[in-house]
Amino acid sequence: MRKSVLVLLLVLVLINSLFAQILEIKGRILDSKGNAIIGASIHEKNSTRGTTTDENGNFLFQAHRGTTLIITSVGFERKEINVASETNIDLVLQQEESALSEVIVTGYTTVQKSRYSGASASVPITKIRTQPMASFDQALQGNAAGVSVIATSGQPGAQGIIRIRGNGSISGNNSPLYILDGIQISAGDFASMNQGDFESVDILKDAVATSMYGSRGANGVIVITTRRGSVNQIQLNYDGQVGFSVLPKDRLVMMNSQQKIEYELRRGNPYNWSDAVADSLQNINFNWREALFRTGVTQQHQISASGGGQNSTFYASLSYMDQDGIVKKTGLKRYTGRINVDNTIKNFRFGLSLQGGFSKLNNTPEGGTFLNMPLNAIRWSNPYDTDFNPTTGDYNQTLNPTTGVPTGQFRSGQPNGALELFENERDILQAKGIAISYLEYHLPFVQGLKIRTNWGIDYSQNESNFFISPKTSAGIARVGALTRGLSRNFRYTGTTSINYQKTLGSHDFQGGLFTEVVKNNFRTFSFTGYGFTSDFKNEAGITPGSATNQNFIPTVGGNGTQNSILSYFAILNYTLNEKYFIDFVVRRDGSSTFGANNRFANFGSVGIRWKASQEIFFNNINALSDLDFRASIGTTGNRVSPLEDYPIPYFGPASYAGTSGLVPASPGNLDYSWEKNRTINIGFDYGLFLRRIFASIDLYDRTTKDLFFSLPVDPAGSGFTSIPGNYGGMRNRGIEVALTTEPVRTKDFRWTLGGNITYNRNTITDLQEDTVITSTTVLAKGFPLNSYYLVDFAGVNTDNGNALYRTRTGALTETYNPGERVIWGTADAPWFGGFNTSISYKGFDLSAQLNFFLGRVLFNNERNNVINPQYYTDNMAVEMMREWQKPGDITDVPRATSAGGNAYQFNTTRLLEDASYWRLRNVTLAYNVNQNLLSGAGIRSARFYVQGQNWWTWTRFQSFDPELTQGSAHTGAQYPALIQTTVGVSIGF
Amino acid sequence: MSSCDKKLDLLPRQSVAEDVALSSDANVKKVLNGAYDVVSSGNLWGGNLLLFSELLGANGEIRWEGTFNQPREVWSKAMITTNSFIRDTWLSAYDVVNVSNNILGAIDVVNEADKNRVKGEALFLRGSMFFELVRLYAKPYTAGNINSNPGIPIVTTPTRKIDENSYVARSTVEQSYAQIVADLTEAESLLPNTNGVYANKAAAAAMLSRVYLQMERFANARDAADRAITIATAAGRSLATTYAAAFNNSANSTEYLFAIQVSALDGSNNMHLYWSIPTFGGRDGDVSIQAAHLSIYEPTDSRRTLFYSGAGATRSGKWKEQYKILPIIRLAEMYLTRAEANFRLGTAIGATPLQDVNRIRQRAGLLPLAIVTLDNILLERKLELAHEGHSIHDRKRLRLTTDALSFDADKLVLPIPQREIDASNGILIQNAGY
Repeated sequence: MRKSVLVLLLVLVLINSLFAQILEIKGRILDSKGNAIIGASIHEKNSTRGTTTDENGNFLFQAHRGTTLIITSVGFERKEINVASETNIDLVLQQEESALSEVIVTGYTTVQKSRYSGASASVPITKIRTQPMASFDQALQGNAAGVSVIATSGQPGAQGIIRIRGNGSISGNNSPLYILDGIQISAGDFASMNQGDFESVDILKDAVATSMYGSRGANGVIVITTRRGSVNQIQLNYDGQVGFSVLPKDRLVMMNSQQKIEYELRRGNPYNWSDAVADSLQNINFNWREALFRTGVTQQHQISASGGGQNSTFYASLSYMDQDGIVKKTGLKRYTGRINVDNTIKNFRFGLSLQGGFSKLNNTPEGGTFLNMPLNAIRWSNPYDTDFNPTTGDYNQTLNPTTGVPTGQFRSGQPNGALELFENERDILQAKGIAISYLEYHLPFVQGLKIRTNWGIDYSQNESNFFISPKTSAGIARVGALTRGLSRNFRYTGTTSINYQKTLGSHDFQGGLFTEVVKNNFRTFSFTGYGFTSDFKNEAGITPGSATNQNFIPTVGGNGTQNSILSYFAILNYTLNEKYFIDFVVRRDGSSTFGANNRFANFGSVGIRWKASQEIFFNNINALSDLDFRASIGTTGNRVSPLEDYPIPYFGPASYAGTSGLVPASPGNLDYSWEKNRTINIGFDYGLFLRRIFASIDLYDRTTKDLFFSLPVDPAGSGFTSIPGNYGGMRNRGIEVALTTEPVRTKDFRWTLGGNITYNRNTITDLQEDTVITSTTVLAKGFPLNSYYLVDFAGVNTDNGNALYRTRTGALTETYNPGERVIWGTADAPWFGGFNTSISYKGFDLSAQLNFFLGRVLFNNERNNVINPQYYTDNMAVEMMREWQKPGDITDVPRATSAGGNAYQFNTTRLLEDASYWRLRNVTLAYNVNQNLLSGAGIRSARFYVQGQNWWTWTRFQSFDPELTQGSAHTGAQYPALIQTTVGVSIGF
Repeated sequence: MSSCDKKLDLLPRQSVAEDVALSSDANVKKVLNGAYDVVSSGNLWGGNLLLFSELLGANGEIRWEGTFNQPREVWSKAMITTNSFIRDTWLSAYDVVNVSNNILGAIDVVNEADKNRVKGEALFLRGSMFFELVRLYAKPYTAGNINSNPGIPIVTTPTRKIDENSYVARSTVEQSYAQIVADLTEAESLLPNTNGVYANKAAAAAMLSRVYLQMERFANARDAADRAITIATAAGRSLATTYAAAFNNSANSTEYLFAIQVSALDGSNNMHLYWSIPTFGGRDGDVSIQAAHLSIYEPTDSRRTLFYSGAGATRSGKWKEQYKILPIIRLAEMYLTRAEANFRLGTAIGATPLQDVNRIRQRAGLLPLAIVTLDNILLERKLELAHEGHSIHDRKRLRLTTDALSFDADKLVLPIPQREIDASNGILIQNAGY
């Protein structure tokens, strides 16, 4: 028996040696994170024989012993291995370090940027994770070509305004769609999300990328994925930052007490100061900025862990952020937790992501001209009025002459801003929960075929608590007011798909059929109670009110909306010879918000990428490492209409004399439909000197037609002022250039320099009316959205001090005529972008980012309120000291009096200011501790850094911050963007 | 796919489809209450209709001092066609017209017992709004050329669909007044004598007397005023005991024939908002009363002592307090209309002019007159009804010069809002002078 076994073995060895020339090689190709690389090419050197990996990264190949195998995959470094005797080859390919190697996550698919015909941008995730901003969207600024990010406020947690390739809509939504791990999330509550959990942020810009979102994709898509665990790599990380923030430079200079008193006396002494009082007031120079602002302290901490075994991986995190605002009493506290789990069992993969976030935002009203906004006090309060009376310790305020009750106001009638800020309460508790699960089944009998279903809910809740103290001027009438409100939004997104991937020789197909449903449900309610006769600032203080005391009867309110979308779509990516890449999308969407006649619409796109540098005729150009051409065309829609209109004729609620009623609310429009976008994109990617220089240039033409438009109707005929409709057209054309260079790369020293520049030109191409004028702006055919429409202010007549205006024909006149208004620029910068550089030497790295917005103008309404001579009982801008007083005065400030046709006019270019700016967005100096030093301490990595946000800003705009814009005017009561400095540490175990 | 599509059939949460809203007795009555809601808005009888009249007729007796440009333009007779206050008044008035037309179109579903009342109220509101519009946005009736001067667009059917037929040209001044008289006459015939705080027979008769007075049809004005007085007094209405008691009320005074209900909870009172001062919950005291007005009163006149000082100027006490009812028609006006018309016609229907005028004077704390002249009556009317929205209308019908402008000057007529000119596809013609 033993013999026979031995003989059998010998025979086997002999047989084996007979076939020694050919080896059957099995293997698996993975990326550095342990993910399978699909479609990697394996071929024998000096031969045409080859194969590619399947969807699990596996391959099977017969090769000659001793031969060399070349393994390539786009985006990865090429690898050559010698086949000696091993028949099992598991290889890890390193990603190439260049812009081309990035993966683009489209939300439905993941493709390498170098294989994708669409225009997209990946934002470096480190820039998002570590910038100390409670709303991550602000961190996108300057980091992606074609993406304009503008902060609306410096209040902690405030959102930015994001525009991808310009404004496409007049009255509809212009914000991008946000997709997190495959589901739609609300854009309004990023303050309760922790960007430390993000793995990638991709911005989809052209139709190839966005048309797979069909009716929601018109304004671009921002796709976020969160961190997942890696196989056999258990990691624990701590990230922490502490720092402070301060008020930026104020470029709108107000009068000091001496100037103000001098000005008042010049204007006739409205308060009838005696000489002695006037003298004493000149010495009080109260700094209202110091009374209301402070240095804010910021700290944030995050602990995260990730890892897993062969079949299960996880990622989990907890974070805490505490950011003081620079306005006293304001700030944000945020707590978040997340857990992501992925499992593989046989042919099934399933996963679950849960995220909970809770934040408390204390804020102050801003961006308005209401007297009782505390932030207006720094402009309007006279510098000789102080916040507190030093003898009584109470707020300075006048008494009602008849009742003797304090008014909460100064003698000017201006509320005491300190009283408004310190006595009122404003906070919002925000909770956000996101839960997503998916199940994937790889069909065993057909290779490359899988079925996937992904469902997720996005729930956000805002609970507001606004207390107006009975001591304030606004609270006196009803003895204070407490408004409590709750709004909640629930949305689910469900996507089910069949995906198939197949390689046939040099042809590679990847595609899927999808069906999707999105349903949104929003509800809100609130109540306001009055009569705070006791000291309570909460519900306990409410006096119920009665028929004899109607003032105290609480008011209640509430509302809700719901809408849904139902979609069917298909995506196909086709690759030929790893040189030609074609992407197709077709989609059909139905939406509840549109007229029954036009509820469904079709969208689609096609795009192509040609890797010209792979062609033989480029082989001899050594300097050229890449040359890719891209072109795409496609359509998308904008579903989010201004008021979530309903297409049917309907009546709304009314009430009169204590009885409810009904009034016609809309005549409906059964033809109401989507806004339709068509985008053409042409781009090329260009790499030189082994990608030491890499540039991407995109030209786009985005046109919108059938804009949402409240068609004005003559109510004399209909009783309605407007009906929901589709009318008009808009066009955005632009060029985006993104450049990365690496002038120096040695073992220890590396210097990178890069940037992106976007030029976007917005034009209204079609409009129902010739011009629609709203206050200072106009909608006009052939001009950009919200162009300023103002009379040209041409200085002051030195003889009589009257303001001069330039007519359309160029003549100077003293008569203000709104008919002479002309179109000026817009607040939307046509030129914007960012430059970045980094220098690293051994463990140190220093990086900086400089952002710019150029060619924009802004109507300075904040200044309007302090140069209007009628408001001289309040404080005024120091420029008013230059006011014309006597013939011969040469000045740019007209005389104060309006008699004789010199009334103050604000619809003029006197208030239109250059609002271009350059801003040093971020500077970071970091030190990565040498691993040799760490390994003894059981630490995997350690990084220490110090960073500054907005340290330097250049602008001519006269306020704190040129960036903050609500719509097209700089309103006033501005909460400036923070200038922050933080030190941080990241430690990995 | 069709079952899936049902997911898209979502209705607004706080709205009722049109066919439902007009399908039942209860709902049509709700729509009627909705019409009052619109008419009570700040753009209409919630204040601005009265404000415009007073600002246009300021004549140096009141000043607009507030920061809002829109009322200032009206006060300084420098209105531009895009003035948003002027636009919104026009829009809201036609909103009332459409709601009224909807009610009239669905009147058959209303219970038989209430049909006359509901129809009468809708006609009252429609006729009143046409009247308010024509006397602000068109040349005065007394300017002549009533058959060629453009009036206002007249629409008497509900809007079901926006199409070419939705654009309606302006009728002449004469045609406009004819529709107003027809609406209010029918309303008077249908309305009950009492109707809570809603329009009743006396209110319709009173409004009709105003229309006739504006048309200088004094006999009609006299008779309508007399009917209003007779019906109202029979129903228990009477002059308030003091002049001050006729204002700042939380419940209708016995003197009100029609008033806009305002409470802390509901309704708006723009007269208070602009004429009062922060101490009483108003804005900054946007309207001030000038010495030129105060000097007209006799020193002991209790109507003079109602004025008060605040925020650096003299203020009207009629609009002092917040959340108070806004009277639209007071019984006192009817006595003065009857007196004027009787005097002009040499008649004494209901009472002699002297009796009616002295009734008003005595309540104001003044000695009765022994004999009365037209000037006496008109002065009494001016003082009694000061700052209640009668100013420019009375000045126009009396052909008085206002702020150096002739009573029929272009500048004393509000512009048709530019928005409407644009939206009407050229069918609406702008007023002269704009």
